[in-house]
Amino acid sequence: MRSSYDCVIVGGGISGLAIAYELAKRGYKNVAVVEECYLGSGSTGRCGSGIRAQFTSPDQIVLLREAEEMWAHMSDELEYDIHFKACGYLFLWDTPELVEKARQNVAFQNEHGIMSRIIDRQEAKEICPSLNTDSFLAGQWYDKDGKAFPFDTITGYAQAARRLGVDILTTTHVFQLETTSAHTFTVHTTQGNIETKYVVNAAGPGSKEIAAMLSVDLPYRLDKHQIMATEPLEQFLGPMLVKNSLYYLQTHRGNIVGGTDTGDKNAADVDCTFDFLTKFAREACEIVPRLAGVKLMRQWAGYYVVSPDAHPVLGPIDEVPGFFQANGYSGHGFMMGPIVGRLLAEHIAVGKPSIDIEHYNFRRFARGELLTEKAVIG
Amino acid sequence: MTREDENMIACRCEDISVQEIRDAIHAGYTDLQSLKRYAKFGLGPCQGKTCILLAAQILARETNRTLDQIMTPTARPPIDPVPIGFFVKGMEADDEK
Repeated sequence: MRSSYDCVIVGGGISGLAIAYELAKRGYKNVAVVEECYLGSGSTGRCGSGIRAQFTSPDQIVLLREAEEMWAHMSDELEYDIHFKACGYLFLWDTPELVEKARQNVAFQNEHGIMSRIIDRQEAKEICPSLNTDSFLAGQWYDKDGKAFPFDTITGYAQAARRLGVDILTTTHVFQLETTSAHTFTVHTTQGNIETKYVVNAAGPGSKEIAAMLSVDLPYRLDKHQIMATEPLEQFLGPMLVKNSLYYLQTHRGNIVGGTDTGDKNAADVDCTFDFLTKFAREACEIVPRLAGVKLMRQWAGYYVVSPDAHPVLGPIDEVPGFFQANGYSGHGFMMGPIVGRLLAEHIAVGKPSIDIEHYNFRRFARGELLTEKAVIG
Repeated sequence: MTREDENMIACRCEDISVQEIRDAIHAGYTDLQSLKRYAKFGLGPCQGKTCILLAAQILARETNRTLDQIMTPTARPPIDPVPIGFFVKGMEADDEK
């Protein structure tokens, strides 16, 4: 650890590490990532590992379309296998009203270059032979959506960033942030103070606390989302399956991993509950009956950091020059990680991101210019 | 390194050898949480009940620490794997009989 850096990134999840890597790649190498626990210990390591572009907001679609391009080449880029696979996302709709709404969403996505489509039960069964076709009326399918392995992604980014000279500090807690008269920051950590020109807040569930140190009030709510993993099986499932708040996929290691919403808004812990298991089991077996015989191995939980419009806050804060946000993903932080990394790094290193992210700025809350997104799963 | 370490399996569920764990420690994964997730032991059906302590011992030895200086991972429910159908009311669990 040095006593000063050009940029200090708070948070060693996918956002923080991707920003660090992308900065270093642009020659901006005097960068530190400060993580309070171990890398990926927050929302990244707890997530469902799905990657999709089937959203209902043009802002999200633009970013995720680009992110999927990046994910497809990520293993080569990082020289580490992050196990991305375009397994596709198959949404199952079980009422005529939902099918009609899905048709509208598909038309909208198609206009924005996401070639999702409505498929009948027979085609859904061909994509996922284990499906119970009595459990839905129609499917919504996009074959470029996919999955990657969160911890391998963390390892890939961390190793690549270190190779380029980034310092990564783990088990290091940031307990105070100060602005100085010289328009820099002092970051007070449990390993000592750091002077820096820029601070990036990529602290996931801790983002609100970090921002509050500079009197910025991020309007977030922490919702608990539970998830489980089964014993590993031969590959059989195919796509990520989604029905209402239920979702699950099969990882490259063979485990079924997924969850469903239990309505734990404003949660104060990430404890697991038995209620989650019964709800998940009922919903999961309804669409794939053979799952009933598959052994559930472990359950855990993590936070969705939910913003008022289910979109993240990305970019600078007008009132605190040099203080950047990459947080509030509302459940989509893992899939957005690579593109956020690139755009924030461009913002800091070049002054302007290659995709306009003004809509994502914190000032939208004060101005009442909220974005809209209906497709939040889990 | 001994031949014993190369051949000795530490994690029976995932087939991870003592040597693979040592290699990961020497690659810089010196806390048990990261080590487990990088080397991928302790994630199988036994949920680390046989290998986590073994790995903790190897880690302590390789990094000159005592066992109580090593933070062990959170134990996740259930204690033993349970068929998903068990949690569905009215559904008979198909339990490999």
